[in-house]
Amino acid sequence: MRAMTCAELGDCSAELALGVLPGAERAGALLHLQTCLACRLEVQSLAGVSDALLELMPAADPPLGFESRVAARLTGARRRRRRRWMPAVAAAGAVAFAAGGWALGSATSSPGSRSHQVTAGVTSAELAAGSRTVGRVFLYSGSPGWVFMTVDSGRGSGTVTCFLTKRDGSSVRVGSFALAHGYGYWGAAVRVDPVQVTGARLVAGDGSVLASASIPGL
Amino acid sequence: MTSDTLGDEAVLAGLALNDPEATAAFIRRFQGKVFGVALSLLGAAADAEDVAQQAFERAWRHADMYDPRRGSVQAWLLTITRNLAIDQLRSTSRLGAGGWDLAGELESPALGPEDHVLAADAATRLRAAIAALPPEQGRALELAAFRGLSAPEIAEAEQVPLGTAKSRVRVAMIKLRAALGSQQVEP
Repeated sequence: MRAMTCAELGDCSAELALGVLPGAERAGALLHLQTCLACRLEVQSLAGVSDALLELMPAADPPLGFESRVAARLTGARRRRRRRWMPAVAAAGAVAFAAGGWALGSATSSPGSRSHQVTAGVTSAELAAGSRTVGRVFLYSGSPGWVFMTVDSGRGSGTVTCFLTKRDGSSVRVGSFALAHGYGYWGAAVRVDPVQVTGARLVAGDGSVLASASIPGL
Repeated sequence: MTSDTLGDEAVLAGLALNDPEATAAFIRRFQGKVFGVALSLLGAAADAEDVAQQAFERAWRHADMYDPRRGSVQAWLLTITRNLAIDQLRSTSRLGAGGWDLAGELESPALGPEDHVLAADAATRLRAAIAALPPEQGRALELAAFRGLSAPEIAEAEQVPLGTAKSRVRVAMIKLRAALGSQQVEP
């Protein structure tokens, strides 16, 4: 498989953004995009047009009972997945993560200008590195409780570990995830009572604290 | 609570974690748009509901694939919906079926600004740009964006050389991007 040139990519960037570029060409285009920022930005901007076209389409009221039918469908799918995964999951003692992981970015509707926010059952706070905001952490008190965070510090790659600080001053390691050029997002179920959590820390492989958050009480 | 007040990405995260409240909020928040896109593309309510249900299930299964840098949760979910609708059209050999009017489908007087992530003025500019496209570019764009046809398929459907089909799609997209990027100038 040969990577496309910039000129070749330019000829098919719109088709790539619309998701209609046939397989062989698509592979060559994606190879090129791995190494060409300019073409990546070009495709990204055209993908924005594709998104806008879909968002322009009219909404319509679904048939009565649609929401409950979708919920029932998801319930069935979850049961099937749980049955399939149960042996491994049970062995790992990680039932809460049977969904296989998830992703999160900065919550666009969250009040970015505020350092923290509390709604019933959910609290969020800025992740700060010194005086600089580098992300946001959310803590949810459901069953199970869970934590998720987004980080965009602009620099640094590698594995970081998330610790939660409890009211009694002790720390609990929740898990690790990768940052690429300072960017990453991650979440996990938490075994500690979220009500007891007062803070979060992101720690680099060398033990240095990359960012921390003071989490308001739930 | 509560989940209704969370950002889209947070609700998606809750969906992936099987949180019942977040799941309900996610469905409520996007069902109108998802069903609307499916209905616009498929025409029949029963087909649209089936595709819309599949779209929500796929969003749950692939929530970890969502990358916030590439667009909004809604755009991601609507792309899933569009792709499923196109698969449905392909399976019933209705892919190239005519009678679909791009500008008409995207023109909805009943729409309010709350229906869009897209800002109202951007939506207005985009609609105007679509209406101003030469018919052959509008058709090429429609076939690619809403029928999922590749450039060779468009060339065959329109009986034009492949290079012409590719060019029509590209030029149309560039025009729409320019319209989205343009700012209203004070007189």
